[in-house]
Amino acid sequence: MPLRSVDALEPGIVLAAPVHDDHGRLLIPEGRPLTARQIQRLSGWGIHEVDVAEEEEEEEELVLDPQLLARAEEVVATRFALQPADHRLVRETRALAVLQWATKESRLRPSPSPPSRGADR
Amino acid sequence: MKGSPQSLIDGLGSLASPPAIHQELMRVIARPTSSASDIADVIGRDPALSASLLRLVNSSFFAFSRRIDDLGTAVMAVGVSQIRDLALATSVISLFKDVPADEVSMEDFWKHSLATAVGSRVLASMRQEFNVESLFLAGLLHDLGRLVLFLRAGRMMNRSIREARDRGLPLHQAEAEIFGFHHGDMGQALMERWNLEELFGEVAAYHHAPLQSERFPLETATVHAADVIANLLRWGHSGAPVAPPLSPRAWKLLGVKDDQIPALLSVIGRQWQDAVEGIILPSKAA
Ligand SMILES: [Fe+2]
Ligand SMILES: [Fe+2]
Repeated sequence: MPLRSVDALEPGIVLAAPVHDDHGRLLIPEGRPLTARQIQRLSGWGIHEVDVAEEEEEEEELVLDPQLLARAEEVVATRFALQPADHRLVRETRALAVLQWATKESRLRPSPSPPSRGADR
Repeated sequence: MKGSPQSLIDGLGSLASPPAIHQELMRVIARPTSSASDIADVIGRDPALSASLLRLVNSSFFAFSRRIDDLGTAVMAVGVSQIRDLALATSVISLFKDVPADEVSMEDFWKHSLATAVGSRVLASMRQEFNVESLFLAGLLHDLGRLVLFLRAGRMMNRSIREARDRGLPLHQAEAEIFGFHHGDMGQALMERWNLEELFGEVAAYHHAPLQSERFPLETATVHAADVIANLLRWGHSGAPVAPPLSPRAWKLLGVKDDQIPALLSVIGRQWQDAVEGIILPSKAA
């Protein structure tokens, strides 16, 4: 994930790694949208670059075949069978799992032949 | 039913004791006169462990502003008990890297455990917990009992996996039917035998029923959630064909807001890959 100069940060951007001072003290944790105040303070601490999380969309430029996505939904359904219906974490995780599986399959077999390698037995 | 968790540990031989490096570190840390360099010396005697720890300290986990090239500096930067926890995590992986299991490879098992460890650590650091490394260790050890079951009762363990698959059960439930207890209980018994702090055994015992943890509900809920995420995303594989169900009440305890979830998942995935490269891949080559 990309290093971004502190000057180019905007509120709402999410850090991919926590920021510590030289003594290992945690200054800003990862995984949370930055506030304008935190951005100001970064330069005050003498920090010039931080590791930012990539936008989900940027990660996936590959255009995935709808059939492959449908197949991914099926494969993934088994392992999601016991999850509570309509929970936000479950929904987000399922979307990522589908994308993950379909991406891996399409890299494994660039030809349009149907995928048969199931990670889920 | 094949004995109790305790009787299965009795047959484990040297694995019934914690990794030697952990015992040594505990001794050194307990001495009031020890310094960071004494601790670094103990770790330094194990070159593979030292290399793994330095890779971790320089990874996206910490993102220190400058490179740390020696263990003494690492101990000071990360903290004594934190380094001890990371050292134990790393050495347990190499201690248990050759467990014969038909249904799951040790590489996949440790990838799953590491994904749970990283997820627990990220969740803990989001709520600004003081020692996030102890959550990392708790996550890493959460399924360790399953390896004891593979070692001591491999056939019954494989049968549990087939049952879980055929009937669509969570694996811990199939284990409970077949053994009379599950890998969480087994793990707790082992960690008690190892004399680890109570936190680790309790988290292992209740990570599939987090609301039942009385002493460490927040820590247990943390590892529970990280485990479910790792299972659902197949970041590694601990043998469970169906992911264990999320407890929405446990998730609520963690205070993660809905709009933080996509970033949370991407941060865990990224740090997990770093951890796999830092710890598991090198130990495979060794
Ligand atoms: Fe488990
Ligand atoms: Fe697990």
